[in-house]
Amino acid sequence: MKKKYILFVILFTVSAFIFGMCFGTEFFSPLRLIKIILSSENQFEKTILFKIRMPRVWCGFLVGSGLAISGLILQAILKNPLAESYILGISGGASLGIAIGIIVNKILAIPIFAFIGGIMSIVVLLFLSSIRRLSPGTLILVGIMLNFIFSSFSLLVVTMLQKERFMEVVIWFMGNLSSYHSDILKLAPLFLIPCYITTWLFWKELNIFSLGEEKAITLGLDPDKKKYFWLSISGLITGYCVSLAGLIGFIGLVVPHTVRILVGADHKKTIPAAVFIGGAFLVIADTIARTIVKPIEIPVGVISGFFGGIMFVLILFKTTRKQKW
Amino acid sequence: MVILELNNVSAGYGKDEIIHNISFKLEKGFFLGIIGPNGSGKSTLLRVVSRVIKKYKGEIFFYGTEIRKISNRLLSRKISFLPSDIEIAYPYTVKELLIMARYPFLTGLQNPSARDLNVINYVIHQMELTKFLDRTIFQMSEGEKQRVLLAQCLVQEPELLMLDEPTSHLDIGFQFGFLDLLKKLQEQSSLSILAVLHDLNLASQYCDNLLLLENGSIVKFGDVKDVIKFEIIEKVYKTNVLVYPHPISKKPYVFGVPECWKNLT
Repeated sequence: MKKKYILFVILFTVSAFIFGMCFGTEFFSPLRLIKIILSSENQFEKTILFKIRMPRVWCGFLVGSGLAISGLILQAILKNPLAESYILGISGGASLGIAIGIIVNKILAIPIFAFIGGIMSIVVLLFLSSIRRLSPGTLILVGIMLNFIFSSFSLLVVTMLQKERFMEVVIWFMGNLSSYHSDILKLAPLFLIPCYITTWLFWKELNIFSLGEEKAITLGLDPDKKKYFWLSISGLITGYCVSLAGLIGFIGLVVPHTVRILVGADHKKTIPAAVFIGGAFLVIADTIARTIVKPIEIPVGVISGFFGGIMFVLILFKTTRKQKW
Repeated sequence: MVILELNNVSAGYGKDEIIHNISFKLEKGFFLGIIGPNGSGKSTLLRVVSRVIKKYKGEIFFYGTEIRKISNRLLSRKISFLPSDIEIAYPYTVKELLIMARYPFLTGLQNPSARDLNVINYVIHQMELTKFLDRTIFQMSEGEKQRVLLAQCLVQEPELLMLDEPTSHLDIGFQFGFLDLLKKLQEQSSLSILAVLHDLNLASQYCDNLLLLENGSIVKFGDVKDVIKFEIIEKVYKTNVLVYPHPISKKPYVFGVPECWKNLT
């Protein structure tokens, strides 16, 4: 039973990678892939594979897994199956940080700006929920509004840019895996993978959190203290993902939900599964986005937003039947 | 031996004080029921003792030590709490839920030890949950779910068990089944129980002592027979009642009187 899922997760991830490497402006069959990699000729194809497709697939994998993990964390600590960094406005905050980062033209500092922006919106969210106890539904609404507010601010900031760069930034806001900065991508694993490992090491805490405040306290975990730790981790991951790929919504919603159907709700299993399924999912979505209407590339945020939005409504209907909102 | 003692405890949410100057003692191995009209502060009282509400005036002693001086972790090995209307948001299996409740006994990254698993297995056996183990909480009826949540509390090996309206969503069969189980636990393992009960008659049949609250203050605390009296119940609940002994248990039983029948008597 257990082994079956591990096998499925590995197969799914590997096939997503192959899928992403095969498709592009020119289709390479898997057999040709191997030939290109092994032979010393075909320099042109090698360049396409190793310099263009591979980094993009890798970037998609990291961003997908990051958004999935940050969604999983938020859903556990807020005890809300609809929580996700995009919906709660954390991505929006990060994007404002990045817009400012672009204006001041410090490319490598962008993840830091993104992190500060993300944390800013978390602080606002926490502040609002400390004044008044927010029901899960209200929290989501507040998050969506935060996202609007931050997005309009970042658009305001961006309109101050010159025309050519303006378009570039707007496309990146739509959620796009083609305009990442290669240095930010190089540093990404050093930063994201320790975050994933930390999250997995403390899987028990997430389980306890998800039982709600009253159970958590009487099981010896102080949610008021620990929640800052988890929100920061989630903000860090989101900030980094947004600085790589802009605003890609709903991955953090779709992936944890799917993972729970596959392996159950225990965070010991959902965390590693979400890393791989989330990564593979975004790689597939991005491959579809860049090949479906050749020669135009659709931003992957459009694809994920379309399917994610449908899924959001489905989960909403399922949860409102059980919970009082 | 006194397991829990409250001395002039006042508390609430933010600036609103909801319970005022509550003082009582709970002897080890006793079943104390908290009753009172809606909004009288019953749940607030449990939330203070379970430290969900951290700020309170006065003192709360657990085995003679003020609970502010005991770490949360240590307390959660002795006291467990079943909140009302608990909603599990994710499809955990029964087994996973039970393992979670060993959290206060595990330090850092430690996995459950053989002893932890022994405790869990004992509770599974005691609560007859063997056939439910791999089922998720979403697939269970309200009554079965409540039993799993009780089992989760027992995995903490508590000496004091607190429950907030544990039977309010259950049908009469599950209500009696659940309280019979509690009574058995009380008698067999001398568990002390502090429970908010909405139903006066269930409270009267099962509890040793009762604490009657009105507007956040104690109206009466003592033996069931001294609390469930028609003059007290009528005054606090503002309705006409009759109180007769239960034909079998001889404990007081409260009968409400519908308006349309009053003229006939």
